[in-house]
Amino acid sequence: MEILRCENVSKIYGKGETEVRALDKVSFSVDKGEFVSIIGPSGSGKSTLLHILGGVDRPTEGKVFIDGTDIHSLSEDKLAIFRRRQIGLVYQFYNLMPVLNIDENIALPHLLDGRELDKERLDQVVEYLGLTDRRQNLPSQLSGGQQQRVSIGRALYSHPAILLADEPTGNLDRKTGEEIIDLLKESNKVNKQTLILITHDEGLAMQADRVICIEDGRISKNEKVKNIV
Amino acid sequence: MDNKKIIFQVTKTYMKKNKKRTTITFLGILVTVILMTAVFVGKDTVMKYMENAVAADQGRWHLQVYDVDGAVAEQIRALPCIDKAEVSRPLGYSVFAASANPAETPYIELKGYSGEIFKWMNIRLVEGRYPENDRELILSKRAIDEGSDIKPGDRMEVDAFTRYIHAYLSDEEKRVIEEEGKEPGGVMFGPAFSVTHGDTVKAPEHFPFYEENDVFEEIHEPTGLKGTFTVVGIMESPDYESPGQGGYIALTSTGSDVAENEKVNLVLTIDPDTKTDVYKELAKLIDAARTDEERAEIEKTGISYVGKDGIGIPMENGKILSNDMLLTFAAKGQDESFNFLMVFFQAFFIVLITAASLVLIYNVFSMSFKERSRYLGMLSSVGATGSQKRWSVYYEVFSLLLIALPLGIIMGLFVIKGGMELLKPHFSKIISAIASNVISGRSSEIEYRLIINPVNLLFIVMFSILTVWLSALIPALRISKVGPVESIRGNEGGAKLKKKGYRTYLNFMLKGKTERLLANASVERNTHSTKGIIRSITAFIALTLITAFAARSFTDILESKANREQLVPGAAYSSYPYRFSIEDDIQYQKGKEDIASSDEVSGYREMNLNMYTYHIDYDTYTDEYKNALSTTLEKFFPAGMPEWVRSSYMGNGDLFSDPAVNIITFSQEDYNSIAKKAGIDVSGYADEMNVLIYEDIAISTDDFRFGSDGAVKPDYSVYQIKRPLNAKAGDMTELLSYEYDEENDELRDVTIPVRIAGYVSDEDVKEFYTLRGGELWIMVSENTKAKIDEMSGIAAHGIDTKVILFDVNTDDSKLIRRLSQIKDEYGDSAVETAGLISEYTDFKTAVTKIADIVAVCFTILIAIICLMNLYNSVMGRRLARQKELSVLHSMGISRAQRSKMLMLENIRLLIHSVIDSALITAAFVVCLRILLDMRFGHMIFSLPLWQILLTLGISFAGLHIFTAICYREDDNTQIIEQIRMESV
Repeated sequence: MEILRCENVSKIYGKGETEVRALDKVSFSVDKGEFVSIIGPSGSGKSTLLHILGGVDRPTEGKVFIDGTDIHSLSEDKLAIFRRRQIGLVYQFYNLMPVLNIDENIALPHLLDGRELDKERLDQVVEYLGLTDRRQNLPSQLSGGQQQRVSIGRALYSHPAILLADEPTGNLDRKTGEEIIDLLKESNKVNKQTLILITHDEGLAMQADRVICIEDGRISKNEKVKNIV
Repeated sequence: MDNKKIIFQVTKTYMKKNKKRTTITFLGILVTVILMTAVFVGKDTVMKYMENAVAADQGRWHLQVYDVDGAVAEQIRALPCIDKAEVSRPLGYSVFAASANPAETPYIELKGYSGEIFKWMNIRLVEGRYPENDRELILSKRAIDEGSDIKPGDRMEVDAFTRYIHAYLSDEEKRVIEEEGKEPGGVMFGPAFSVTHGDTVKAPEHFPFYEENDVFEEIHEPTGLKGTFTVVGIMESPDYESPGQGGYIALTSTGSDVAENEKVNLVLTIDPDTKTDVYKELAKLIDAARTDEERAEIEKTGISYVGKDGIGIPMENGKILSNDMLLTFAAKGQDESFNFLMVFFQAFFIVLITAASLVLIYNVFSMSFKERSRYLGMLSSVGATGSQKRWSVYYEVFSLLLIALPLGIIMGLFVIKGGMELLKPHFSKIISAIASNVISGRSSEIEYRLIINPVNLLFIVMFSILTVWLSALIPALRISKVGPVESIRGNEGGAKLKKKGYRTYLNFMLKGKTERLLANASVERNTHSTKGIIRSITAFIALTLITAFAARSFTDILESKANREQLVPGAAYSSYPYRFSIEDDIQYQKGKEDIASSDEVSGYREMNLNMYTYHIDYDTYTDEYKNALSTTLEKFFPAGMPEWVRSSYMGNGDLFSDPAVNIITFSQEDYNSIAKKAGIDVSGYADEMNVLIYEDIAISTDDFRFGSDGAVKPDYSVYQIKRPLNAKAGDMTELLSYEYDEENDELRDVTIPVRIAGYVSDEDVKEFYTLRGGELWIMVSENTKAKIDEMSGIAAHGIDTKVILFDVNTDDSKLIRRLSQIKDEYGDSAVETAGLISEYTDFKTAVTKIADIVAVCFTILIAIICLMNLYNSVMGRRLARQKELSVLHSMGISRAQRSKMLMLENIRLLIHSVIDSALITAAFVVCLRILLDMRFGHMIFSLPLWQILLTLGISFAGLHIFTAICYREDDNTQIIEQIRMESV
């Protein structure tokens, strides 16, 4: 069952001579519970695509449907509400709130939605991430791996339909990176969450159900992993 | 020496790259220079303007010495402290054939002026020219106004004489004196001049003309001046000419030489650079020329001039006249407290400017510390030394100062010019209201010019450099200590974190108060940027309030000094165009009844004052009052207060050793309204003589003068007392006085018990009067006053002043014509136009008002620096929070949530800042208070309440507006860019 559909999405930065076409008529769709990797060289437009899919940035042209809703037709505030309810974002540099401790960071999207804290769920997530003894620390007091765990915890806490991860292991050593990917995969499987992962690492990409290759803002390949093999 | 070229190059690039921040730093430095210019040039400009205003009103002379002979005149001229000495020569009276009013003004009163006195005395021509020799004269326009047809070019015969009044001694009186040994009576010509029967006395200057009768005759003694004079001009009536005097003023030119045996008046200007007590030097010379008999005669009066050294020199009243206000504004006044105040507050404002500038520049560097440490660390890693890094900061501020200095001085001059243009109408209004000569609207002609002198420019440059250097010092030292590794990593400059972490705001989380959670976390945990913003708001509130408080203290001291023993009518009296007053009580009562019963009167109000008639027992006063009195008196006698002083002023059983009180009588309606305002119910005392007591008394050194027993002239000090009497509302007290027993020709004690209905404050009586002085003010209703008068009989002493202010509803008022027929002993009408009775009743009051305006302007300028600082800090915080905001955006924060979060943050920041600034302001105010108390005694400074409220309002509004500007929606692009780049 299709959860996300991207139709002719283009993103252009600048004007005239300085115009850069980061995405050029990108179209694809993702099924519910599917694990999709997006790979491509630096500057190919992967992160731009992820931000547009996550409703953080708006496309210059084209539409993005999530659960049948054209998310970029929504107002800023409705888009914000959509984002915190439906999307879980995991960044390469974690993007945690520097002034919030681990507990607060994890619960942030849930709290922004005006909902009261589910303390039991929070304890469960913190324990699951192995951060019980650091939960009062600020992000800057944690290692990169720990910060990325918090970032994943934040994405998992409120059960978003889609997890978008932008090179989540790019800033971590191999072992920690593998642990992070395991967490994401587990969440994908156990919670049936759709996972879209951007990565440089082909080996990592091959762990997905499907791989989409982007080059110069265009999809050059979009195939099931078993077909690639 | 380190090569700093590369450092300067990099700093320059950094400055270009961070244009916004560089602009803020530049503006901060620029405003500093503007303020320095305002302090130095502005102060001199305002002082010069005031000097010109005083000169326009009272003349440009500094001192006048009356009746000096040739020898003394020569000695005075030889004094090094005297700049110029001109002669004003009384040449006597002459019959004025062209007078159109011979019944009242049959003469001209001729004076000779030498040199520049025409200019110094503000003699203004209506037509013609000034006299150029001793056979030309100019005549007062009063002669023309009263109907004379004399004009420039006419000639007049002058046969000058001195006027003497001889009072006849009748045969009957002669017999009584001889046979019964009684003293002869006399003829009174007003309160200041009387002639004993049988005597012949020289008439004083400006003496009116009285028709001779069988009681006295006027004798003319020729002075020898005789000849034909040409009228070369008509002048405006000089300020010393009154309508009642017997001769129109005529002025001719005269030489400045003084003959040995003649008596002239010397008009002097003093050397601008002199530090000598000129008044004392003159007093010494005059005293040295006296014979022993003359000196003994003067010593009997007990009047003397006492210098700073405490040595008294006997001096007749009015022998030396000084143009006090002009000397004060020219910084040559005898009263050093004004000069001290000027210097003290000038220094104080410079410190404030430095502080404001210091906080601003420090904040700019502190906010950008992380960025700077990156490029400086990079330079450090390739071998840049601490000194080179320090110089990057100095380069930045001094290169900006180089542009800001000339620009700031020029802009400062424009600010002063603009300020003066804006304030000039206000100044003119004040001056017009109080000045005697410039009243006809000429005050707007008083020109100001910017006083720019090299010394002031040097000070501006010096203090600006010093301020900027001090401001950059701490950031420079901090930056020089940054090591290469930390600065490249960008770890420097951040706040230290708690190792154990931060307690979760579980309460907010459980209750879903996300905005509060975010606001609290941001304020409490991002201490680096929080501190900057708190520092800015604190600086804004504290510096603005300190400036406001200092300015208020300054004007309070000036007011206290200026309005000593004064009663200033308030708004209740300002709208009546006519005033009626006459000393004779019967005529006054008649006039009052006429006004009260006239259909033509649309409204009237009486000012009824009684000064110094009544006393209250010294023992009834509080210790606060007694201590203030004793401390003030002790200042005059460093070697110990003589017993006679103690017993004369501090109660010895004699009435006059008990403090005098002043009584103000109000209509029952006004009395009730004052009581109501003060929250006092007087209805319960309707059957008793009840009084309201004004709660403030200010005892100052200006209230006393001593010239013996080692008395010195102390520095000005004033003690304000809040509760003068040991009696509370509802208590009885006694008014003490002497009654004159006509029958037995003796004084009799009078004791009048009155009930104190309550105490009233300046706010309660402001509508009617502003009251000052060292005596207690007591307010009574007409009924009570009538009872008091009945009980006290004929008062043996004191001064009564009764004035009725009224308005009429017709242009052709019979009442006014009727009242105009009532004349006093000088022939002056009892009714006259009231003029401007406003809050500006005298020049000194006006000065304090102007000082108030200048102080408010200065407070505004200081506030501007602080607001710029606040904007810079808000912007700095906004930039430092880029990551926070981008995360919140990606997590789906709505605009409403973001606004609420920012508002909650602002409230928290404001609470922190208000607490900090309250502590700083309080500490500073206490220090200032101690300093001023040490110098000026104990003053009750009024709280600048509206400034406090306004400052708090502006800080909150400023913080909110700046937040709205710095966090505006279009910044979303930056936030998305931030997320896209995934780096901060």
